[in-house]
Amino acid sequence: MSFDFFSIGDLATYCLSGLCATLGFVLVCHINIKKAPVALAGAALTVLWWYFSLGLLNNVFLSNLLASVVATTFAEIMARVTKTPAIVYLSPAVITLVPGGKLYYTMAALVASDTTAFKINGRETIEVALGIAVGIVIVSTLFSLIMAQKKHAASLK
Amino acid sequence: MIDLSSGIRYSADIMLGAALDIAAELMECGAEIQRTEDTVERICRAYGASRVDVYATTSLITATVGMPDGYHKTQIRRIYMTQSDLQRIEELNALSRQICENVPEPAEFERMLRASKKNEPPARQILKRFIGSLLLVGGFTVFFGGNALDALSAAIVGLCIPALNLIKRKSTNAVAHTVLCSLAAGVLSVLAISIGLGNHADKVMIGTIMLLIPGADIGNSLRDLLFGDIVSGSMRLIKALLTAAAIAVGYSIAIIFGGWLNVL
Repeated sequence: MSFDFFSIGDLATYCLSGLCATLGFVLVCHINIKKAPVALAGAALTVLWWYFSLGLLNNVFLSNLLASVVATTFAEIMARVTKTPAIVYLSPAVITLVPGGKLYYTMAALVASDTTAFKINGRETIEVALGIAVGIVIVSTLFSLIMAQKKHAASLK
Repeated sequence: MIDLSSGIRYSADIMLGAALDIAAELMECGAEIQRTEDTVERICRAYGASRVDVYATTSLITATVGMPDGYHKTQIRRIYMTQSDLQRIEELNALSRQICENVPEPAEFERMLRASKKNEPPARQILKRFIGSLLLVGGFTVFFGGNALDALSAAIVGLCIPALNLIKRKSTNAVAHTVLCSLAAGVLSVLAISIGLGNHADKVMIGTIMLLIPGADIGNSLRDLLFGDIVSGSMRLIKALLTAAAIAVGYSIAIIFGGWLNVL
């Protein structure tokens, strides 16, 4: 395992710009401003996790999956702690993972009839989207199973 | 002779109506199907309904409530437009919890729902969306590799999207509106670069794309699909894919335009 990829400048840029974008998302999606610190903490955690897992694993799908698992776990736990719907924390946490750049380059390649670039970027866009989706689904399903089990246990008492 | 059951029936009607109003507003703010159906069911059960059948999709909610005296009532709500408003989802969630705990008189329930309606002035909401867009677009331009000048350029260009959203009406075709927003943002990005505001047209456009991308729809559609709401999940997924296609159409034209101006 090597940490050659690590650059404090890169990490700081990702974190700061990601947090600025997330704050914008909080305002655009009209999230309660009192919940913004928790939402931003979730986003920071996700960006950090994504940065290190991408650097260490060098795998687009897996790194996004791991980051979305962390984001969803954080959102589900904080949702229960603060009695808020999980989506309030989940959306801002995963917004930085959304493959906007790759989607753009896929389109640009399509317009330029560059089949190779289209295939590479298109595949990566799908990989990222699938990674995020699978991560969310795994964790939310686990949480709903745990909650159903708890409810069932409570009804037996 | 006084019909004693008429009071119960009147209450059941109001209660179901108010519960469905909450559900419709939840859907309009972008809540998941499971939450919406769950909310109606919980409220009706709290009011003593012996049977609740509720079915929600992204465009229609229908519910039948059966009271212990055998009285049944069905109401539907049609949903036209959705706009992410997570704070409202939170407020409605808290309201329905409160209603299930306290079970107020149905008329009082209706009043509570009306009182909980947004009291934030529209001007402040619009300002929030504009500032939010500015931060989001600027932040993402840097996140995806742009420099400070690109971020400034993208943030200014990105303001055209909330501005265009102001003219969006109930009857506006959502796909056409997305094409219009993408086209405007794309062409303005190219123009901004051509006059020297910013260095990388691609980074500026990526920043503005992030404001249009249907991330919440895709997330919600997958949640719906996995929790067994196949119809709504597929509807949301198709809507998200259509939006993505509309974004592609708008930006593709802008990319061709950028090619003519030699900025790409």
